[in-house]
Amino acid sequence: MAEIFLDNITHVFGKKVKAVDNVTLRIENGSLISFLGPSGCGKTTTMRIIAGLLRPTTGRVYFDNVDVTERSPQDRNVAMVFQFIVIYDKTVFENIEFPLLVRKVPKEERIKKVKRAAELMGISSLLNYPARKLDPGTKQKVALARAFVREPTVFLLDEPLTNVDPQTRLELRKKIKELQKDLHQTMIYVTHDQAEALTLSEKIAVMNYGKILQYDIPEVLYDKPKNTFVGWFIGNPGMQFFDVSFKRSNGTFLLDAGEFSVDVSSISNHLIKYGDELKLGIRPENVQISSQKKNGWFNAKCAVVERIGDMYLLTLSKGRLEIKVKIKETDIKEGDTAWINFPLEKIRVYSKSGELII
Amino acid sequence: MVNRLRGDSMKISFRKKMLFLSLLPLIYSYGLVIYPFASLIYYSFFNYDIGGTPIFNAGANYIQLFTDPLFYKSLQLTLSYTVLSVGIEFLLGIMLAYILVHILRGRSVALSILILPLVMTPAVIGIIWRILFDTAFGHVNFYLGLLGIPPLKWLIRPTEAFFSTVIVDIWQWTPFVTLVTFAGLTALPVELVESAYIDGASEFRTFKDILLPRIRALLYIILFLRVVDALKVFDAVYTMTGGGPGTATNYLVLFNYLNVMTFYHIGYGCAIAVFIILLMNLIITLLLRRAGPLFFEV
Repeated sequence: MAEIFLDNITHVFGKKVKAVDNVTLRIENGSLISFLGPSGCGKTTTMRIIAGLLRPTTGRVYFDNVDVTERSPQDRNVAMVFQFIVIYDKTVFENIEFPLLVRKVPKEERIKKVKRAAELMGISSLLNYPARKLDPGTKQKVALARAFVREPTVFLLDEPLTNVDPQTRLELRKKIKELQKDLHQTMIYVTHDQAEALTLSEKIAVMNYGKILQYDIPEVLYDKPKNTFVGWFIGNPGMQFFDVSFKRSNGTFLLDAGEFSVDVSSISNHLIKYGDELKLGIRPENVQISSQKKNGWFNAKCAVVERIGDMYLLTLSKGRLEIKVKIKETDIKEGDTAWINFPLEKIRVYSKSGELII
Repeated sequence: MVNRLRGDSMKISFRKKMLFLSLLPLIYSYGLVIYPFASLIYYSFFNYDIGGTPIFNAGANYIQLFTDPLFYKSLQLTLSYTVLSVGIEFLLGIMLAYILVHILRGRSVALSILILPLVMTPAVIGIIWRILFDTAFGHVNFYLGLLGIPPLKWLIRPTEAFFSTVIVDIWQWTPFVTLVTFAGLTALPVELVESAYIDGASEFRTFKDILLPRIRALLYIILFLRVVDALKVFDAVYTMTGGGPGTATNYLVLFNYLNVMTFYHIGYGCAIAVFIILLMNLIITLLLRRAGPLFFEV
């Protein structure tokens, strides 16, 4: 167990490629956090720096206020599970035993610990089986058991469920969450799958282009994304944005998108100093829609109706704009005209450069 | 012309051509493999010396073979030679591969130097080493002399001669073991190494316990090739010692060659050749039985 502190970490591959750019992050002792971001955003590189597999170009890594930047992975006592499923050419038992064996743990204790780890992962019956003959899901369980068999300072899970079949993925996701609660260990989870990050973690660091854009609890990430990237990245589909101009007419303040406008008089004093050009963001599930005409709502034509899980996703067109609406039930069909409203409390306003204003 | 353009007639002539082509491997296997092999077995049952007429002598050649002390000595020498040289080649070759994996600078230079012995003709290698091993003027004794070691009678005394041939084999074939092992190791996923490091294993332990077991199918192939090759050793030894001094380096194939080409006992030579082929087959079968399952596993 440890608190991990990344102090101004930058990592440059070759001469130009900045994989991690000035990352400073404190990960509380015993918490489960995720690095979330698209491919190539630097999340895996950051994790490899924490593991000691990479030395950062600049910056320091601290475990419990001890500088471990120069220490090898062997000395850091971290446990890591990879996206690429790593199995040694040994039996399941020997696989799980390996980290204890190289640390010269006495034999009885080894057997006891291996059995307990195997039990946690539900692979007790396979202990004498050659690990390479197992299916990918079970192999990853062995790899997880190998990580959970000892008491490391931190667990690093690098997209461990990506190469696993969907059934096992759900099972393991639940298991990881339970284990983290039981063991109360610091755990860092890297994923590009937001559903995984949102269900598992206490806090999520959303990354892009090597930077941490926002580090917060899932609710805040969803509700108040700090910038347009986070808003767009979180959610299925993510937040939609409209370029609007901030206007004053007849004593009211409007955000005017050309095809529609929203009255923002009540929050106008927050917006005034950011200029005329702003971005309006709203989540598809927060847009109100009706097949009946309503006062103050604007109309749009329904272009596409899709089903996503147990919800409907409607894509409506209004002039050059496209508006997405996510709704539980609807009688609107493709080609119908519908009336739309953006509730003021659900609207987020961003500056031209994409930073959250309100 | 019109016929040619018709699809079905085209098909038939194509089929015929393919049928003829498919006979080629049959001709190859019968004409070039089975026929000589069958005549080898055939003549092994004859008393047939060059210039004479072949006279059927039932199994007399084989009885002679199994009562020939020279044959037993040759067999024993060949087996010792194989075990010793292949064993050392494996140890050295894998060690060098380990070093190669861990160096980045100078790796390509090291690789091109390692390839040199592999591309040289064994007969030439034998001649070069014959000069190097020369008791009076050889480089080996010269450098040993610099270290204060008195000159060794490399190719003159039986024991030294045996070890000289082993040294030459090791010199020529260790790079082969190194290169193939190195190639196998670099093809392994990097996560395997990283995972072992994170589990706390040292570099050496990772190599020994995790990486080598992963490439053991490959190691078996190398072992297989090296054993078969070492058992058939001929050219370098022939040009270096000619099987001597006396019969100190008279390995099986040399023993066979000398019987046919020097003593002109063709019938007896055929019997020896048949024995060598059977011995090879036995060893290959044993090795494959051990290694075979590895190749069919995922």
